[in-house]
Amino acid sequence: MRKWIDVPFSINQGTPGVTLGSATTAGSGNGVTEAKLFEFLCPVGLTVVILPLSTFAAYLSDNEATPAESGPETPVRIVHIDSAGDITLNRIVTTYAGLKEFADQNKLKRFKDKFAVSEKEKLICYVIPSTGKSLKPASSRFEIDCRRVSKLLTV
Amino acid sequence: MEGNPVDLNRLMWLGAGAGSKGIAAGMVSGFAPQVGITPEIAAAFIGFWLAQQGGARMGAFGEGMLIAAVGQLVRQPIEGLFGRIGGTKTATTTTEEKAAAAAKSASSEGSPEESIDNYLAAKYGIT
Repeated sequence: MRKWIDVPFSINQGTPGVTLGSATTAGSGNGVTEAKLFEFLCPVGLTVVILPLSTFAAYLSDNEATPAESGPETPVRIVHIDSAGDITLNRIVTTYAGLKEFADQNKLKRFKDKFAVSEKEKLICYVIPSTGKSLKPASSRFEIDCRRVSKLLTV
Repeated sequence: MEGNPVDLNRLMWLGAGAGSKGIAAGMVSGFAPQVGITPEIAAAFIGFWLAQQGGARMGAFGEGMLIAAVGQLVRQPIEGLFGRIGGTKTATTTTEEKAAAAAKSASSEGSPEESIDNYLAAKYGIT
């Protein structure tokens, strides 16, 4: 029988199952319309475990002619969608200012709840670009540090 | 026995009979199921038979055995009505207790191999 593992896991641009959102048109932001930063579709056979000590950090870049970092007041949220796609829960609702820290454990943004993202469930991160601004996910960075429970490969 | 209605000699033989109920039941535990009765019922028969023989000693001895056997037989229905009676937990448990034990066992599952939901609930409290 294949062994199960419960190990640290990171969701970022390079994680299998992560799809980056499309860049929005320069200057198109109206402060209301959401743009998708990334979508994580949990692969079959994998369960992602988010605990209150799990962290979320991001660097948001806009899509203007002269690319720049998004403003600190930019709203960001992470939603959790079930496998049927009809139940949605906000897991993090904050602003970009609270997500900038990637290293300092005392400043990293942490999740409030503990929950599991089971196979075929999604985590989607939405950003609301400020008025006259935009979002370029390909130039942005993000990192969710959590745990994964899955089967180990047989050797 | 005037002024002292308790016959200590009889009481002693009653107690001895009650204490020997388990011995009698154990002696017949091999073949009692073969005739379709439990050892406790066989012990009750033995106690009844001994009590029928009469005598200050063996009669009281048989009565004690009969009382203990009947007590053992009615214990489980009484416990069903009023809950477990004192002492340590016996091997005989009710359906509810078995279900609770099974649920507890499942909730303390330490490996995700059988159920990942149970594992997450036990390790992280994620339900």
